[in-house]
Amino acid sequence: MILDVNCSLGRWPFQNCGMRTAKQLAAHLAACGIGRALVSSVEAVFDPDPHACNLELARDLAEQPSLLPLMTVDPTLGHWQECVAQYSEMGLGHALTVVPNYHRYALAAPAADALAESMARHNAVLVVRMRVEDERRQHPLMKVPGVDPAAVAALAERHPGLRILCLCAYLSEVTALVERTSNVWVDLACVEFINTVRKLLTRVPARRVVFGSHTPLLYTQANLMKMQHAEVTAAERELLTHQNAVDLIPALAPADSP
Amino acid sequence: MGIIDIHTHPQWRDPINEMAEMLRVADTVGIEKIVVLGGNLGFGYQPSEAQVREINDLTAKLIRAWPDRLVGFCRLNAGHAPAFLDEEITRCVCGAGFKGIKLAVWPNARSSALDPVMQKAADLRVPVLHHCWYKTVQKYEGESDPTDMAHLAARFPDVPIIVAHLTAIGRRGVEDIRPYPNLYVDTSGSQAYSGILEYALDRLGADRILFGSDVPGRDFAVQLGRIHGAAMPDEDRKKILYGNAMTLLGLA
Repeated sequence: MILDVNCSLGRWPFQNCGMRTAKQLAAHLAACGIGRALVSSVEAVFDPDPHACNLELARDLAEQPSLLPLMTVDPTLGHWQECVAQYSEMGLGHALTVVPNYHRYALAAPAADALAESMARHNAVLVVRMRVEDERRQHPLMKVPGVDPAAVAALAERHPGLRILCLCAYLSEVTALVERTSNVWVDLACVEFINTVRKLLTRVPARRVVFGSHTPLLYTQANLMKMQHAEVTAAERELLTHQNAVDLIPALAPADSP
Repeated sequence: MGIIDIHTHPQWRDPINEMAEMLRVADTVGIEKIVVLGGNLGFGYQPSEAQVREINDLTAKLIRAWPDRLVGFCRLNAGHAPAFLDEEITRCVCGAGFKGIKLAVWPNARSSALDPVMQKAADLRVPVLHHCWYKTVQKYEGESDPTDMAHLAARFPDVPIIVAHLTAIGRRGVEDIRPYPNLYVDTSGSQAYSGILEYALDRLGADRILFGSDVPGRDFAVQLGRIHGAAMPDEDRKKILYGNAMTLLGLA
């Protein structure tokens, strides 16, 4: 069963992605052979209070057992600790996501360190979204650069007990992140070159890579075919599509898993 | 049914072996033919005349090695003198059997410098594939956007022009090129962002869309994924993956 760590629900304002409801998203992923997915709120990227979007996401996904909510946190907001505590009580504190460049803070900021420290203490995974879309095709009034991989690596080094999962990093960024750190994982969504996965695994260990499709912003089939045609061993395939994700976030494991 | 990839570039460190590897990977996803547009070979976007010849010599060498699999396009810098452009197109298309012309980032498609190239393309009845993006950042000097392509298409309505990078021109770009029936678009460009292919199908029709991967910077499988991931009738998918390229390249 394929597990997908990079999905979202909502309306990205610059693209007509379809799949507006949790039911549609769940049906689509199931049709693609994706058994479970980590899903964040699109609206939480822009809303001044992502907490409200997170709660709405949790309500929307409640009827879809294949979709696991991934709550978005902005650590520069005064109530972030209350929010995180509430997510823990809801059983959703296993992983939290940040979009530093949309929420306009540096990963070197004290707020980011405070969140990282809290998450390391609770053995939770910090999911950093490096970008949402290709910077070159952004709306002219919405220029948001990608997150600097060096800043992620520095955060990882300051918090060696924290596990970080980076989504939508490019090939060169992935290589730099994994080489420099021991506590950063990456998803496949935006890594691309001819024979992508084989090339990637010549540079980084299979243990550090997880499957992510960036659905619905990207065609799911693009990353599925990246994986289907990957020239890898059965063991590597299992790591990338399933085991690494479960090891990072056990809540992603299907209910009937041992 | 085979698949034709209208947009690839050769690698140049070990071109024959790298092309052999590219074709091996292409086989794994059912790609029958690939169009070799020429690469920069590290020369940048304004190659000299000698560098243009070197780029095209490499393409000729590759298509001689794989005549059934590779289709060559003549890479040009339209900023060169008309006599050189004429000579190089003749050498590549008439002499080496190239099936089209590739224009890249510079000069801009509105420039009259392109006129001799386009006139020659009209005379020889070959298509021109032109780089194109709507960029917010990282725009290169002279880089054409879809309005520039519309300008070029209006000047040369008899030349089929393949606008590169559907994802990069976006919905606005599709609308810019829609009124010009001699403008086609390839599906390459950036990540496989969803929705744009369905939009292009609705606005341009399947006859004006061609599959392109932009390998080796991209991956055949991923770029095919966007064609298989988009909702469309099988008949349209066949045109995009194969039929339209066969027609435009004169292989039908």
